[in-house]
Amino acid sequence: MLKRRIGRPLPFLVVFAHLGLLGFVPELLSPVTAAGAEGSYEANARPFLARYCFSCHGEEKQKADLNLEAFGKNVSMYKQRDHWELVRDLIVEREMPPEEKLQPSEEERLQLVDFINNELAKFDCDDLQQPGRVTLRRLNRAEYNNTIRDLMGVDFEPAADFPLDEVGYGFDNIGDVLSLSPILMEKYLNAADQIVSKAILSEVPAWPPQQHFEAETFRTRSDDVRDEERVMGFFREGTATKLFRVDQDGTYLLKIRAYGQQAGSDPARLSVRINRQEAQTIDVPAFEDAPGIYTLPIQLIASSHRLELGYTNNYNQQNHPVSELNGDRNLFVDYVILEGPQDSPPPSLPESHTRIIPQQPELGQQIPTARRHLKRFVSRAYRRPATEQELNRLTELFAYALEQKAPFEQAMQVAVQAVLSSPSFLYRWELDPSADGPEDQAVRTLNPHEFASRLSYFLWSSMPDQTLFDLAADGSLLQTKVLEAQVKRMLQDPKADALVTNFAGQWLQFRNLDTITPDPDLFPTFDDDLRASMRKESELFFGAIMREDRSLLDFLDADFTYVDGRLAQHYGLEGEFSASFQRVSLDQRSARGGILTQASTLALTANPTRTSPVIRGKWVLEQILGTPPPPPPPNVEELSESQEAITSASLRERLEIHRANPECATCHEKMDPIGFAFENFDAIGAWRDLDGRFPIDPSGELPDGRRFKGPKDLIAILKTEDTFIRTVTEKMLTFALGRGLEYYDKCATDEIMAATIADNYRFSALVQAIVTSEPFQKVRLITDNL
Amino acid sequence: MTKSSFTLSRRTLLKGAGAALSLPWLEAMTATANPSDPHKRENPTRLGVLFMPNGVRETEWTPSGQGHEFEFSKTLEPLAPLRDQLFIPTNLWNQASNVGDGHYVKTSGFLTCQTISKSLGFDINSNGVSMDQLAAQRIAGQTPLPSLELAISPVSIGVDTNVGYTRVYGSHIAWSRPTRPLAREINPRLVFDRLFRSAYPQSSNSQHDTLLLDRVLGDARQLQRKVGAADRSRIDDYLESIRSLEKRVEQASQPAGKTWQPAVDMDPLTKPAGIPEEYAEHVRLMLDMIALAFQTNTTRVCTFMFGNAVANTNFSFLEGVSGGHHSLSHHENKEKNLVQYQRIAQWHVEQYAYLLTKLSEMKEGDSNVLDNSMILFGSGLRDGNKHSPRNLPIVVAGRAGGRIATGQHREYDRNTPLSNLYRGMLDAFGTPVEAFADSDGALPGFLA
Repeated sequence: MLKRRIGRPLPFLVVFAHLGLLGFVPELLSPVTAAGAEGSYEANARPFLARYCFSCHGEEKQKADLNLEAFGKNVSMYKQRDHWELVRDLIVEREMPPEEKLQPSEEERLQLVDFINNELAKFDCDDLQQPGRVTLRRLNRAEYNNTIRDLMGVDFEPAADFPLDEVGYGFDNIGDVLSLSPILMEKYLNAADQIVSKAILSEVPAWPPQQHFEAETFRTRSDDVRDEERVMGFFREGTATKLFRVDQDGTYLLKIRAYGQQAGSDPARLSVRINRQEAQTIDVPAFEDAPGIYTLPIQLIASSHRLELGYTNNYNQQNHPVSELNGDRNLFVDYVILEGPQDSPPPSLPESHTRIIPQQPELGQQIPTARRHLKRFVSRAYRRPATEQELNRLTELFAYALEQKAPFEQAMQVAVQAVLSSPSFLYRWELDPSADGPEDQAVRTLNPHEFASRLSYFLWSSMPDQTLFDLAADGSLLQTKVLEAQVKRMLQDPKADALVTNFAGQWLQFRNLDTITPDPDLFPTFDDDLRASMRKESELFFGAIMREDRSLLDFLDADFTYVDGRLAQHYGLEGEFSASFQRVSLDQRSARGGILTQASTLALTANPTRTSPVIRGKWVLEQILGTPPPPPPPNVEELSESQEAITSASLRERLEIHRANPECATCHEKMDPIGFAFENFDAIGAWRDLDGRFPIDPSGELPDGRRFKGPKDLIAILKTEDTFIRTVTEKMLTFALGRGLEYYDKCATDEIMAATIADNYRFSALVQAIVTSEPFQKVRLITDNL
Repeated sequence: MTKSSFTLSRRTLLKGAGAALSLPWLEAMTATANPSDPHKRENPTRLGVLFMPNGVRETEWTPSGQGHEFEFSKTLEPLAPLRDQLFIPTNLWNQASNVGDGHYVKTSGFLTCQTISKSLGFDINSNGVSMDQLAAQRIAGQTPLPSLELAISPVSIGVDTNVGYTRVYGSHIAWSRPTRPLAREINPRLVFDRLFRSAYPQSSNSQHDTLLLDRVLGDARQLQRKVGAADRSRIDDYLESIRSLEKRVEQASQPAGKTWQPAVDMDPLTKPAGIPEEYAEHVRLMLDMIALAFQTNTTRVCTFMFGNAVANTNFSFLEGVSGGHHSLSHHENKEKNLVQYQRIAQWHVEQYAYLLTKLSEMKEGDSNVLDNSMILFGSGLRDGNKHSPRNLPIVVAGRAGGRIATGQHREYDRNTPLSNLYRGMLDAFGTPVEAFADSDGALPGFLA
C-alpha cells in the first residue's frame, strides 16, 4: 500500500492539490488556507503531526517504516516530495489517522494539506528541466473515426459500436487509462474489414479495357506443343492464329508475353500480322525464367479481326565449329492481351479507392506497384515515413494474397487491413531513438512527425493533413513563424470542431447532456429537442470564441449567444426566431451571458427534480476555478428530500441548517454561495422568480467577505481572478498532452498563463503558448527501458 | 491473369500459411481434457450470472421455511413454476466487499470475493479473478468463444468524486486478471453477429488463413522491445488481445482440433435489429442472446449486468413505479419507496424466470439446457439503504447436469462466505479449485 502510493499521488488529489500547488493561493475561496498557507513548518505543520501522527510514525514507533519526526524542525518538503505527497494523500482520504485514533477536525486537515501543497510548490523552475512523459496513447473513438475519415476518405463512424473510452483527469484521451480489451481488438479488426470494403473496390475492370487471349485458344498446327504451363511452343517456323472482335475504332495495344529458348547469334523472332498484314516483327530475347512482355500499337476498326503470330528464325545447330553457336532455338508464347481503345474513358472510381490505388499496375508489375502504393499509404497511416522493414512485411502479405489468386485490389485490401490493425496505426507512438544517442541526455525534442501528430490530435482529434506532413517532412513545422501560421490555419479549419466537441464538451461537460433526466412532471417543456438545442448553443458559443479569437474571459461574460426558436422560447427572448440557430446580442439587462448562464451548464448541474446549489457551486469550483472540494466526510446525512422537508422552508434555509455542522461548513461555505447566485435559473435553466412558494435571493458572500447581489455580480468577481485562466490553461494542457499534470508542470503552466494574459487573453494566444511549451514539444527519455 | 478464385477471408486472417507458429498458447489448447470432465460429456454444463444493481427490499426477499418445504417470498414468486430447479441460499456474505464504498466494491467484487484497490482509473485492480473467468479459462478451447460478457448500459466513465473510485469498477463483474475487467457488449445485434461468426467461421481451409495477425503481432513485438514500462503494459494489452483472437480462429480452422459444432443451427433471420429504445425490450433481447449462446454451445460461460452500480434506470414503465432504481433503493424506510423498490426487484426476478423458462424449453437429448446449466442471479448488496454485503440476495437455478441439489431453500450460519457457493459452482462446472478467495469450505447441501 505504502509502496504503491509513494511517488504516485492519486490523480484527483493532484488536482485538488493544485489549490496551492500550481502557485494559486486561493484567497478567494479559502480563508482557512490563506491563514495556513504562509509561515513555517514549525508553526503550521509540526503541531498537527505531533498531535496526530508521531505516536505511530515518530521516534518511538515507525509504522510502515515512516518516521515523520526524523525530518527535524526545518523541513523542506519539496525535497522529500514523495513522502509528503503520501502524507497529504492519506490525510485527504481520511485513511490517516486510523479510525480508532484521535481525529483532527476538517479544518485542521485542510489547513495541513494546504500548507503541504504550498511547500511542495517551492521549487525553482530554472533548475528543473522536466517535460514529463506521456503514456502511449491509443486512438480513442473520436480520434479513430476522424483519422479513418481523413486517411481513407470514408466517413461512417466505424467506432460507433466500440466500447466507451475511459476518462482520466476529465478527458477521454489520456494514455494512462486508454486500455485495449479483446473485444475492442475484435472490433478494430472488424472495423478494418468494413473500412477496406467501403474504401477500396474489390475488383476494378482493367483500364483501358482488355481482352485476354490465352495460348491454348490459338489455332495452331497440330504438332505445336502446348505443355502443362499452358504455353504455346513454336518448335519450328510457323504461325498460330486467333480471331477476335472489337466494338470500337481506335488505337489498341497488343501485349504479348513470350520468351525464347535461345540459340545462335540472334534472339527468337516473332512476327505479328493483323488481318494478314505485317504489323511488326519483334525480337524476343527473354528467357523462360523471366518472360518478356512485348507491346505494339495497332489501329483497329470496329469489326472482326485476325491475329497471326509467327516464328520466323528457327535455328538448330549441333555441330557448329564455334561451340557457343550450338543449340536449338524455339519460341514460346504465354498469352496475348489486347488493350484498348486507348482513349476509352477511365472507369469512375471512388476517391477513397484512387487515394490508395492511384493507378493500376502495369502487367507483371503488381508487387512493385503495391509496394509503392503501400509506402505512400503507410507513411500517412502511421503518421511518419514507413520503414523498409514495414514495407517488406506488408508487401509479403500482399504477395501472399496474390499467390492465393486474389485480384490486385483484394490483395491491397488485405495489406491495408493489416495496416489499420497494426499497433503503429492504433497507437500514437513517440518512441525514443535507439540507445546510440548521448547517454546523459534526459530530455529530447519531439521529431517533426511526432510533433505534427500532437498538434493535429490536439486541435483536430485527427491525423495531420498533407500540409502538416509536408512541413514535418522538411522540418520547418517547428519554426516559430511557421507553427504560428499553422495553428491559425488549423483553428479556422472545420476540423477544429473536434476541439469544441472533445475539449469543450468535456471541460464544460455538455457532452454529458445526454445523461440528464429532468422529471417530466415537473419540467414538461424539456424534451430531446431542447436538450439538443442546449448543447448546440454551447458548441456554437465556444466555436465563436475560438474562431473569432476572442478573449477567454468571454467564456464567463459575453454579450452574445446563439439561440434557435426553441431555446429563445426557453429563455423568454422576444422576437422572431426560426428552427435554425442565430446569433443574438445580449444587453446589460439580460440575465444571460457566458457559459455559467447557459441552459446546458445550468441543467447539467441540477438534480432531476430541483436545482442543486451545491452541485452548481462545486461545478464552478472544479471547472472554472480549478479548486474542487474534497469528497464529503463519510456518514454525512443527506439533505432530506421528503415532502415535509421541501415544504418546510426554502432550499436555501434548509441548506443553511445542513451547513451548521462544522464538518460540512468548511467546504459548503465555498460551494453554496456560488450555487445560490444561480437560483433564479431552474433545474433546466429557465428563469424563475420563486422556488416553490419561496422568493429567491441570489445574493451572497464569498468566504473572503466579498459580497455580490446576483449572478452578474458574481461573474464579475470571477472574471477578475486569474484562477479562471489558470484553470482553462490546466484543462487545455491536460487535453493537449493526454496526461495528467504533475507538480513540475507548474513551470510550464505559469509561462503559458503569462503569455496568454500578455496577449489580452486571446484564445489563440493560449493555444500558441501551449504548443510552444516544453511539455508539448519535448519528452523525458525513458530510463526504465529493458 | 485469370479470373479470381480468391477465397481468402480477410476477417479471419490468421495464422500464417507455412509460417510455423510455435506459439506458447497453442500448447494450452492441445492439453487433453480429463475424461471425467463434464464438458466432454454429451451435454456440457453452462454457467451464467445475472447481476442486479442496488439490492432488494429485505423483508420481501427471503423465502419462509427451509429445505424442500419452503414458501416463496413475494419478490421470488415469479420463480414458483421453476421450483424444482432452484437452490436458494440465505445468509451468504461477501466479506471482502464489506469495506470501501457502497457500490463499486460490491460490483467488481461480486464474483471475485476480493476487495478492489481504491483507484481513479490509472491503476485499477480487483485483486482477484472472477469465478466465471476461472471457469472459462479452465475450459478454454472447447467452445468458439471462451465467455460472453453482456450488459445494458455502456461503461460508466469518469471518477465518482463522492467516493473517489473510478466508475469502471461499477461497470464490471467479470475479471480475467486482477487488472483486466472484461468489456461488455451492449448491442444485441452485435452479440448475434459475434455468436454467428464464431459458430460459422468463414474460413474452412487453413491454407487460406493469412499472415495478417502474424504481421501485426510482429509489429507489436518489435515496438514492445523499444518502450518503457508504462507503454509496455499498453502494448501488452494489444498482444494479449490479438492472441486471444488468434487462438479462436486457430481453433476454428484446425480440422483435427475442431471438436466443436453448433449444437443447434443459428438462423440469421432471428438477428436483432439493434439496441431497442425500451429498457425492458433490451433486457429481453440480451437474455435471448444468452439462451442462444448456451443452446448452440457457442460459449458455456456468460455474465450479464442488468445495470451498472448506482444505475438509476427509470422503471416508470412498471405500474406504480415512478423513479430511478438507485434513488428508490435509498428508500429511507418509507413505505411509498419500499413498495416501488420491491416491485423493481421483482421485475428483475421475472426476467430471470423468463430466461430460465426459455432454457428449460430448449431440449437437449432427454434433458434440456436448463438441466445442464447453473444460472446465478443476485446483487452485491442486500438493502440499498444500508449497502451491506451480508445475507446477499442470491439464487442459483439449473441442476448442472444433476450435480446441484436443487429444489430447496437453505439457511446457513450468519456470515457464511459467498465464495463457498462459488467453489461449489466451480466443482459442479467440472473445474474445481483448491482455494478461492475467503472460502473456508464447501457449502453444505449444495452439491447433489
